[in-house]
Amino acid sequence: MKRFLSLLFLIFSQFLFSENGVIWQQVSGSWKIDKIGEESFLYDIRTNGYKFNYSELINNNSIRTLASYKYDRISLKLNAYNPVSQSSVAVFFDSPADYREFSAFRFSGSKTEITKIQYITSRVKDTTLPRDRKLNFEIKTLEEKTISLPYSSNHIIEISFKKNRTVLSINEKEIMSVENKDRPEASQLGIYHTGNLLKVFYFEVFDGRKPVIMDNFSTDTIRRSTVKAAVEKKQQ
Amino acid sequence: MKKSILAFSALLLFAACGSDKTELSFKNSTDSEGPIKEIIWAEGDANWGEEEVAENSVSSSKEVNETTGRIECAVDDGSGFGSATIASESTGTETVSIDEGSSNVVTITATK
Repeated sequence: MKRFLSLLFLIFSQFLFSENGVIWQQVSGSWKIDKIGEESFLYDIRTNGYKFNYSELINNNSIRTLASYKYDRISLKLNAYNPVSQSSVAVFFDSPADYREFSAFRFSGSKTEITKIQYITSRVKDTTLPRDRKLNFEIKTLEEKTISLPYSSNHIIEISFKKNRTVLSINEKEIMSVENKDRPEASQLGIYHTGNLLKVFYFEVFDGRKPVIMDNFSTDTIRRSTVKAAVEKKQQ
Repeated sequence: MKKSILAFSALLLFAACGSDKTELSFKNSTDSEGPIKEIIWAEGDANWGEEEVAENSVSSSKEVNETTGRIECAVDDGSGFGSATIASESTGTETVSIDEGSSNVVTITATK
């Protein structure tokens, strides 16, 4: 019986944690997949992003789902480490198509700890302008809270969407509940960071009880814009 | 006469030093899927900012200090501008080597 239950659990966990068809789009940074022991994870080898100023996502190191999903709960385990003086990590959602449109919980801190959580939105300032116009986006902080969270520790972040509110819990403790009336029906979501290194151990998304994304990063499903480079000629 | 030889030698030395500059420019291949811009060499050793390089065109040439490094640029992937990673055609790695003291042209093929 015990053996049967373990086998059942194994099959169930394989199903539960197998890559659930999600393809990630690397927006900026250099995201990779690795494994230590039995635990695989997503990580980024870059600390800071380049301030190209087309969007908050390109300015930081970010990764987003390629497809759009309908969801009411996000759960992930992450670890931010090696911070520099200005450090932040954000989980963003409600990002329909355009990189400049999203809502997010942004965790920022000093070199020693994470000290602040902000609920922010990013919106296009002037929709009539071409997409390559710099600084045509606006970040607004709608709510802010002081906290004390250590770096180099695993934190479980859970974001639930209940009626008109979005609730953030960290390590199973409710931290912030914000009003969020105009959610898109379906949208992309992801994470970004700057001023630190980041590991993400799993990223799960649900629509009610239905799992939508169950990625434990055992396989590399990151789509990267690629540039082939060749030294063509050299003149002395 | 001695003075003239010395002055001529100094001039030659100056000219030799001048030719030691390592320069880099980028050609956007005809196989690219669009123009490229915001090219960054070796983690910011040189950057081409908003200079847009159309397909089959060559960027301006800049003096660089690093002879090995990553190349990144911004490309519009359909949802907005994202940063593209490079892969050297000869090695398959994310670093490219150029010749010190030469004018180097690196051909870039950007695909989505």
